[in-house]
Amino acid sequence: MHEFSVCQALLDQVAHLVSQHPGGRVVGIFLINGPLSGVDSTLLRHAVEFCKKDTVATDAVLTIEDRPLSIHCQDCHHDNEVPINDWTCPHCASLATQVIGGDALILARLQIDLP
Amino acid sequence: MCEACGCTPALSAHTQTVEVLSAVLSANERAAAHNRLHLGSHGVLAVNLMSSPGAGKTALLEAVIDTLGKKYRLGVIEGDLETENDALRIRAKGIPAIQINTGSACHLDASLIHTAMHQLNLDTIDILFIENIGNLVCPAVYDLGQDANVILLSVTEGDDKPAKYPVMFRVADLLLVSKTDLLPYLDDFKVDRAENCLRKLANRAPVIPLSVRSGQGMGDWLHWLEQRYQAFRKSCSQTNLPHDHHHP
Repeated sequence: MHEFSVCQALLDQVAHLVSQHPGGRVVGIFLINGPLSGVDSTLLRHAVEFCKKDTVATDAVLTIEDRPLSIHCQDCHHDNEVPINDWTCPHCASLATQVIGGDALILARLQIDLP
Repeated sequence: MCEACGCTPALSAHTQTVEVLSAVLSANERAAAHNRLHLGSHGVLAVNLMSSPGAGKTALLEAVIDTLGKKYRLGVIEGDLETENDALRIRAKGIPAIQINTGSACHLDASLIHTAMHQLNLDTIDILFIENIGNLVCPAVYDLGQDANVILLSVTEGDDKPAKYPVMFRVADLLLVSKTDLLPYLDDFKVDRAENCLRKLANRAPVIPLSVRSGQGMGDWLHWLEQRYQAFRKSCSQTNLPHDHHHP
């Protein structure tokens, strides 16, 4: 359960970004998450609700878009969605595959209300 | 507020959308990159040891010290929620060990390693082991600046752990299946099955069955470690990193 640490890192980054917009107030935080990020979206939502009070993000609405795990096959060059614990290429059964999406938690964008 | 129905519009005229597209843990990634530069400039190979609690990380380190302690200058950073027990075990063998107690935090992060590194004299260390918190989830998410991830999976844990904890096992540069001296008493752990689960994560890392107690596999593990050290030193001399110790 490291979602509180992740949440703190998120709020630090949000605070840094909003500081570049004097008088700005964060109203929206948009994240993209994937099953291999190691961060659970539901737990992170709870953590943010808990931690955002008295920060620059106190009024912010958090939106998390959960994306599937996707791989690129180096043998047949197809891209596919795969289950989290079997990255075999569904097209040609190769295991020479590379994760191309769903392995990170990304701060996509912020919405900031300006005075 | 909307005059027609009183709802709050999603965006006011003064709302600006700022595209960011950066990892939420980017501050840790920067700190880890800094550690990597620092370790590289001193030619120190850093190995991040990860496993469940009780898989035998400290016993493995004791065995490494006993066999390679005269050939290489070793150092250890120990991570535990509480106690200095593990660092005491390492220091008892004459090896410098820094203990990090995280309290309730379930992982080490790059800034903790940075602080600990500065308590060691890196000029007197060839291989630095980081014994991470025993946990198969959170430590995998935090880059520390290590050169290699070595993951221990003890035979008492179940051979499907790589399928259950893919976030951890996908980052393995080496998988050590530990406590194999217990295999005769366990009819439900198959090393092949553990390896298959790892392969399904498109991970081609070597898998070494190992027992510190019987000595099985120790030669293969130490051989891997020495090869990794030599390859690392070669890459250090080629890149010839300057020791630019700038703190972000």
